[in-house]
Amino acid sequence: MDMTKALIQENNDKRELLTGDNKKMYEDFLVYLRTDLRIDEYQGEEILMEILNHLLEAQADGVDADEIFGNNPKGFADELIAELPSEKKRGRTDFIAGQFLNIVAFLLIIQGMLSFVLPYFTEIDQSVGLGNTVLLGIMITIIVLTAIRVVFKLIRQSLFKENHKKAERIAMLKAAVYGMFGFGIIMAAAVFVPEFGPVINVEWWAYIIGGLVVYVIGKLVKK
Amino acid sequence: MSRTQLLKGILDACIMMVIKEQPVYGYELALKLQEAGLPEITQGTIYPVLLRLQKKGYITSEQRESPSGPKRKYYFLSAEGQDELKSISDEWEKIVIPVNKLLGKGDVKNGYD
Repeated sequence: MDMTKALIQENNDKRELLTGDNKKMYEDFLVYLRTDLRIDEYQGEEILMEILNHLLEAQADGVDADEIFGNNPKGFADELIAELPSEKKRGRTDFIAGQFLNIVAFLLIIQGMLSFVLPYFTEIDQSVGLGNTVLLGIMITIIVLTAIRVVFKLIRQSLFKENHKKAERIAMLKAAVYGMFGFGIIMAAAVFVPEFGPVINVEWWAYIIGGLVVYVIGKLVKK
Repeated sequence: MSRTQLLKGILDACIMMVIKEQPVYGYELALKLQEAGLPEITQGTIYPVLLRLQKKGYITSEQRESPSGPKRKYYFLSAEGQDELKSISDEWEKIVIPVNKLLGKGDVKNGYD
């Protein structure tokens, strides 16, 4: 993990040495590889660094990036990806479980803060249906994970295009529409699903403590 | 069929041949292929090939200090790679002589046009 981080840092520093079109082309290529979730992260960074070194040396010799990427940079990237070893299944499961726990922790802490603050302003019903809470947690996780996938896909579609600005705007617009749709589903579920499951009444600090515990578990899972 | 397409199949062998002569890093390898008279190969195409050859165990790689400048990833031909290269070049020879004849480039063995 640390070796990967070191490579990313080195890449960030060295990338600044690329000029104009070379930098633009390499960055498209970099984003295309990094947003491919199948690739083993370390191996991916290693090949990115190797090609960055190549580009820098070519640049010093007055050779442009098209010489390296050819006239079909996307095809070249796909060819590379096909040869890269894919991320271990286990790594992905850990990632999803970790995300889920993070979201649950976040929800618990928010709930804790609300039930601490709100009673000062208004009468509220402190009891919650356990069923609804679990349902919401699962739904939010699914939607967040889907959102990550969709956003990555939109980004990938906007790469290697002649008209960068336009491609980015279209991607942003699509992301906004999908985002509202996802948010709408969560809101609808929160408002319209009737309370079910055992009803619990928990003090605000219990939520916070619970949230912190879940957060720590999530951290451990991700390692 | 373009020259590039034709070359693709034989590129594995060309790359292994260069590495056999002397361990090289990516940029060096690309230059050597161009010097050898294959300027139509896009430089990047060597990288998918290098990954594939590594996966098959024909070449290995190692980070090394280069004489001029930063650490670089050097490639080496393994024993399996030597064998594979030998068998590819044997196969190549079996093809190239009759093909040359058929395409009217004369008899290679006699060395005239």
